[in-house]
Amino acid sequence: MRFGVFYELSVPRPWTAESERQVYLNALEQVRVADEVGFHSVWAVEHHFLEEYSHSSAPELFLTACAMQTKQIRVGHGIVICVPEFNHPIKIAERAAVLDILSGGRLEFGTGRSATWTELGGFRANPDTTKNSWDEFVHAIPQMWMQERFGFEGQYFSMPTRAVLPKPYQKPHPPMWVAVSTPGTEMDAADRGMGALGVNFTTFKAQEERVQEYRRRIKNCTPAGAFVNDKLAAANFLFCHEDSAQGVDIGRRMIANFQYLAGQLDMAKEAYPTKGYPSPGLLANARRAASAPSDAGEPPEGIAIGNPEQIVRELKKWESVGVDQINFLLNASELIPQEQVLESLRLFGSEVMPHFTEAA
Amino acid sequence: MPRSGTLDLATALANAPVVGDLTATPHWEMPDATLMQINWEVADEASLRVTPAALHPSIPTYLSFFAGFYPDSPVGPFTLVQMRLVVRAGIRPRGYCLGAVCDSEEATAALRANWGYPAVWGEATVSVRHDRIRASAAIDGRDVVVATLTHPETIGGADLMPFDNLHLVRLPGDEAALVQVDPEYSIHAADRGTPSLSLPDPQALGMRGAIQLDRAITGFTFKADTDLAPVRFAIDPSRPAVQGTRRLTAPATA
Repeated sequence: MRFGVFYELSVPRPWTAESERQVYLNALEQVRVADEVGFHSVWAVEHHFLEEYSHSSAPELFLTACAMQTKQIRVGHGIVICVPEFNHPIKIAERAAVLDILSGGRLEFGTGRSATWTELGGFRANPDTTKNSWDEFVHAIPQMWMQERFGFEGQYFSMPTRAVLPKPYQKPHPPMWVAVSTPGTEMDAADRGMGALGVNFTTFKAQEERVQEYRRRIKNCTPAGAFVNDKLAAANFLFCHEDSAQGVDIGRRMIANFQYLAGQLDMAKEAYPTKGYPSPGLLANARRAASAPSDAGEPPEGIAIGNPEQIVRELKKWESVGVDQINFLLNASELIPQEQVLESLRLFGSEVMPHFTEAA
Repeated sequence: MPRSGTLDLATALANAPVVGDLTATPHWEMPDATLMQINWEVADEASLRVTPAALHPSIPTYLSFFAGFYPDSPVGPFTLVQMRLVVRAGIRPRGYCLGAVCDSEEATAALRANWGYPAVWGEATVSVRHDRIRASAAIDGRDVVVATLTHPETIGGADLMPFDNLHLVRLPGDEAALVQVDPEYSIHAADRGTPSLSLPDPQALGMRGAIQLDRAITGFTFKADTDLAPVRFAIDPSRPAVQGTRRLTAPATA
């Protein structure tokens, strides 16, 4: 089991000249600590226009700053939007390669297609075709990296033969992932030999079934890139505190705050009915489930809040169903003071991680 | 915290429907309805002025025009045309009904008295042709809205996500409330199309001149068996919905 930290970069109102900058500076400090205590990776979303919920519209810049301030931790696009109105695939390939070079080969390349009308409508993208453009991009981009010169005639972009430069530092290219926010996308990942970068707060039984199906299908995949990345990652929340009650209480408030902001977003299907987005998004449902109160003051099942013993117990469940990695959200709207977030990270590193590194 | 509406509640309540007993709402079955919804982004700041403080604007802010022809109901056939603003009650997407026109005097009275629809009696039409569906409303002979969907293409009923309504009402004792009206839909067929929307009178349908159309999102039409069920939730319009919501009836069992 590996662990990562995951950033939406939420900025609460009122927005001041310093508030966005402070959120970014706090995140960078957290990433430095995460690197020191042994986290595997830091992931940053690409979102646009999502007021308060996420001000992370240029993740490649944030991740470059992370790479420059750390030594070991890998830097992950969680994700870059593979829709032509948002990003041209040549620019995606170029920027990712530069990040891989500057980080010394630490890039994890996550891909996706956006799930909100707020963003899709903002870029005037067609929700009916985002899965198709994503599919075209994830097949073309590794070829841009691996071929000295590359030309392409596709449905969503075309280019004459050119040398797309620079090439990534990792050879043949960085590991590729797909964001899973809608049930079934894990299988899209498996069929293309890509890692499933999930946001899953489903029951462990449901998760176990999906893991088994992913593992079965990826054995027969046709990789989009040069190799198979058969990893499954899930998102989670983290607040670790010596005192169980305090850890659970603060963690719960973080989750509730995050859920409230997430609930304000116009998911694609709400505004624009389409087969391209068959459900409002597992993301929304999962986040709501994650904050639902459970019995007897115990934290919700599978959520990493509480004291180290509680968190170890919950994470062992994820490990038992075959999840390879958990990526944690550490804060929401700066609700938790920075010092407590850092202390939570350090406590997790000293008291929780050792229970998993032995099994790694 | 997300932004909230800035509606002047006292002014808005002056013309709000009066509902005598929220716990005595009937249940109407309305089979074989023809329904149409158009979603359209609107100017953001001005629309806050027609939104109660209990609610958050959607991001982006958009209208959800909704029209229905109900051939069979306890008060006979009627057509209802509604102008709704999409909002959040806490985290739940809802259509806050600004105004409505109904072509049946009896239905208008019942819709106001039982569910708090801000409806007035007028002309309301939904007409279906092979290549388009058109809905319109007029009050005292003046057009207030004309909406059309063209180039229909079939979509799955499961792809639709109709919103529940919220209606601002006066209760006994001059108490104000937002009542939630949440019809069920058993969808038989659905089409998505290219929408057009015309609002000849920007003061009508509760828009108070605050709604400025920006950009069309999409529109769809569907055939469904639907209903109007007893009111289950009421919200204090002056407090955040997460704090001011009360349940009126026991939750339905699965």
